[in-house]
Amino acid sequence: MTHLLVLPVLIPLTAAILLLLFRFVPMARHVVIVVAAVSVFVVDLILLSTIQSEGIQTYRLGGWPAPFGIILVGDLLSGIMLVLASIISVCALFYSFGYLKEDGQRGVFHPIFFFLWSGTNGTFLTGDIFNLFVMFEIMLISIYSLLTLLGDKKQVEAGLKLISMGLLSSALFLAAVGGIYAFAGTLNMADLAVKIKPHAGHPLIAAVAMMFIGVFGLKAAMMPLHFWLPDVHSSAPTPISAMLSGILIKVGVYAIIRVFCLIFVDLQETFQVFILTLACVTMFMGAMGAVAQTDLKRLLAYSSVSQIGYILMGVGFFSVAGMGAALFYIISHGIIKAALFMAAGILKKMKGTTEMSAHGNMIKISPMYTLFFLIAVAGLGGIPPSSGFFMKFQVIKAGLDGAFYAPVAVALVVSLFTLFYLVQSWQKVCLLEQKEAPESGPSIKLLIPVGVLALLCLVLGIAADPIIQLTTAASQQLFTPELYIQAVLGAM
Amino acid sequence: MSSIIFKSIVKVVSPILMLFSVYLLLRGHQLPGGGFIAGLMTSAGLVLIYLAYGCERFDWRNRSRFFYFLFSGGLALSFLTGMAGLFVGGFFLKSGFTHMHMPLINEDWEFASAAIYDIGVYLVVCGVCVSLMTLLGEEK
Repeated sequence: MTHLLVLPVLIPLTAAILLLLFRFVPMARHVVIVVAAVSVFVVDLILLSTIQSEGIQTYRLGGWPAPFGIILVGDLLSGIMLVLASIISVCALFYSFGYLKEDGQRGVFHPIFFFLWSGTNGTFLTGDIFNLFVMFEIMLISIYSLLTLLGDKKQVEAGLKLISMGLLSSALFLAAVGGIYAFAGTLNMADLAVKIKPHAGHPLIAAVAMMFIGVFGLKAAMMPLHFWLPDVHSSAPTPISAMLSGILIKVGVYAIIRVFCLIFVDLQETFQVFILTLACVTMFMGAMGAVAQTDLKRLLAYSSVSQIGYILMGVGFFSVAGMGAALFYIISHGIIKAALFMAAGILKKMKGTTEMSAHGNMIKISPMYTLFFLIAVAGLGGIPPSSGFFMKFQVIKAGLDGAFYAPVAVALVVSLFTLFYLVQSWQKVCLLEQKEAPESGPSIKLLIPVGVLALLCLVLGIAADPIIQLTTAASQQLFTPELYIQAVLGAM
Repeated sequence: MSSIIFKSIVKVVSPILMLFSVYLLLRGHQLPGGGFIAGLMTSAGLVLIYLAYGCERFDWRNRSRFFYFLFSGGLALSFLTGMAGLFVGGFFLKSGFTHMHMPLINEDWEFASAAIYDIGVYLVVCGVCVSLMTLLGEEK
């Protein structure tokens, strides 16, 4: 029995506890952070390659067999999400050393950050719907404290919004889980899939599925439920903004994919129009919001809402190509958006604000910064050779293959807006003359993670083929849920 | 708050609360109870003492580091129980139990690893509640 599958949850948890205990010993803390971050990254890569070569992995927590105990399941989707989470987390951690000044801030920041990482990895690995709820709570509680850590007035206000959102979604999630448990008498997702299959037409199942869309849509900032996101993502400390937009809103999408490709397989067609409509509205309204912003971080936050629409659209096609495109979109957008938020954070460090009118002339101050920013802008705008081209191309191609012409038209129009607001913000920050020059340029500590992410965006674009193969394989695996069920419950 | 009536009641009530919480903690493995509820009950007793006596008997504020290590240590204890399951039992969080004959009282007692986990939870809850109480009760 290999313990590989539990390590992505265990290592960050160990690190968090050690960091709490060594809070007053800075040297020991640095060692723990570096060792833990590197080992989680390596373990995630090994895990992904194991899943690729040996198929779906399972791990019984506490030794209890399915469907009674909690099972950790690693399929290709989980593996991809884990690797993406670790790439962004490592960059955010590195960035946090340059971003948080005092040692006191870091002493609190890093343990909670590792709890957040552990919870995120747990969400991607768990095969139990109630455990998914628990992992969501670990994530949310960590975000509450990380968000309000610096005690800024805006952050406390955003914290209040996030907590109301979190309480609402948790209550709804719990009610949905209760409903499905009352119906099927099990919480194991694979077992649920088996038990619900013969009753797919039952109205309670449709109601529960709708509630899950509500809960996960709230987390993923799907349109009518996006109200909390712009405030939270723009006022959070920048490493956390990068985590939030890079990986944590995708957790909601991940959960939608998981329940609709496993438990509610037969309801896919029923909800298709609903999901696609919401995706289009999300895409369009998010872009409209972004165009109107003067603050770079708020603009990026609205842009995240808009981009989630694209991902949901890929999911909503419910085809192998569409799901594969959505997965590629998740990877690519995560990397690019994290880079953009970190670039915005550098501006915040230089002048204390992210208002675009306060900045300018970055091309003279720091050409490297301008270049990295431009790569990320090109990425999100969908210009080759960045990975952004392939992410948009694939979603649109999947839509045309499935003859969904209206969503594709919306996606094309919105991508024009995306390019418009991004290029405009880049031009304002980097090219326009500035009245008063800042005292110093961006610090190299902050530039390195942005550069790494920008480079990754280019690499993903130039060497897109292996990644597309991977996401397509993951999508094929998702559309044969029998594999997952068999891996968890054994031959039945 | 700290009238003589309240102080006298707290003197009687809080020891009972704490004794009962230990009882809840120890029976929690098989019966209703456990680390979380016991921790809350102990903290309720501590909060009562804090409300009645403030810092005159016990200086809560300067002991904040003690309570910090109480909850970090409790977390570590629970975690180590899970890890012990991994190394001894083969699975993370695997639990086990054993029966031991108590010589003086001539009874069989059951010792479960889940009880150690519960004690960790108990320490976390106590540590967090008291830390919160002292932080919120502080005069700025």
